[in-house]
Amino acid sequence: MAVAVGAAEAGLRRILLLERHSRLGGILNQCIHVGFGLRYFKEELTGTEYAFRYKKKFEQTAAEVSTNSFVHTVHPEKKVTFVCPEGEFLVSGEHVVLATGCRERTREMLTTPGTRPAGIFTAGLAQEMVNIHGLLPGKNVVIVGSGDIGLIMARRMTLEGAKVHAVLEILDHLSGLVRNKIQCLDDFCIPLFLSHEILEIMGRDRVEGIRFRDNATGRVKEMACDTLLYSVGLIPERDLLLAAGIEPGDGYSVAGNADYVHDLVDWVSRDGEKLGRALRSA
Amino acid sequence: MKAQKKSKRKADKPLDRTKAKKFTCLVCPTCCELETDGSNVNGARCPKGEAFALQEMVMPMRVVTTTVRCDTVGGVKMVPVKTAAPVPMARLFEIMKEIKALRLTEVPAIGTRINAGPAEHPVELVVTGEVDD
Repeated sequence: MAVAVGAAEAGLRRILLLERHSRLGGILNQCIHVGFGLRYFKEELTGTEYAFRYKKKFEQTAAEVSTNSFVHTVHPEKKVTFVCPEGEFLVSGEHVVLATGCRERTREMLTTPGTRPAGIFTAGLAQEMVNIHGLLPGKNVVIVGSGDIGLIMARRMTLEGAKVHAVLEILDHLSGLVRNKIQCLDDFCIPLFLSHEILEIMGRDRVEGIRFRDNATGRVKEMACDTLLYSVGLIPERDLLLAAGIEPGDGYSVAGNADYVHDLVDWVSRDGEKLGRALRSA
Repeated sequence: MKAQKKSKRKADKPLDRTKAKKFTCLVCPTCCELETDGSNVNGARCPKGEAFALQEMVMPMRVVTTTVRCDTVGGVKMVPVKTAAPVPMARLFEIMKEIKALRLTEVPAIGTRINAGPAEHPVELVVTGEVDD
């Protein structure tokens, strides 16, 4: 959306925005917590409110939107194929901008040893389950990694009646924002274990517990739990360009969190608009 | 740039050491390190931070965000809400219980106000997102 706003400001016409979901806003739509928009809108908003506000701004532009549209291939010569309920379409343009955000790193990417029972989620998936679908992934939770989504989910799960036993962080410092540690962990007396590494997941059908090590002392401990949430980093999603063997630049750009991971959505909007305005001269 | 930012901080005032407490400001992502004795605040880069520290000293307040269940013809939908004003931390779980007991029958528009809680402790909620019917 931000790139379209910037491009429209710079006088570009005929902008098409393809969104795979039924609604614009991306991940913001599942971020019901406050803490967004203080920089951009000078007001503290929830993620959903931020998406709504920004959509109002976006709607002022003449950009065309196609929701429920899944881009499956980016071709050379700036062509894009997408599928939507009306069928499959090939569109071409002067600029192709990927604003595809990030994917979460999973347990498999960390190759945590142990069994493969039910009850292992990424924090963002758990967030979607709780906030959009109204489902609680589990009752006794351990969070692996101290990323912002993990911290936010520690609070969210606690408010919804689950018990969050601990947040394990392999590094000797927090990876999320300090304010999230205070308002999500300290407010609810959830312990944060720094320099702690998960060694093994136990359980046959459902997670039954974990084995972990305090890397400062080398002591190995066990903890019972039925759910693990992974909040261990985000990977910019650029598979569409990779699959086509295209490097960003020369008519192809990558915006927002697909470019690099931003800590505040306000900067995503700002950078997106900047990129959009620069498309004019490119 | 950094020196300029620092200049926004006021000079430290003497604090009553017997009462002094440290907080990290939660008002914005700058996360100023605050110290207060209940009357003076050190470390704040803005007046909001000073007010936060004084409030934190007597009664910590937070905005609660959660979802309200909405039973529509199309199925169960979760409507995102926040409290219209910060609420006392001590009443957090009590308020969550009241919000959980709520049942809507149609999806409200963003910005709609909903009243929850008993008469002696009313809690006003604001719908924060759009939900498909």
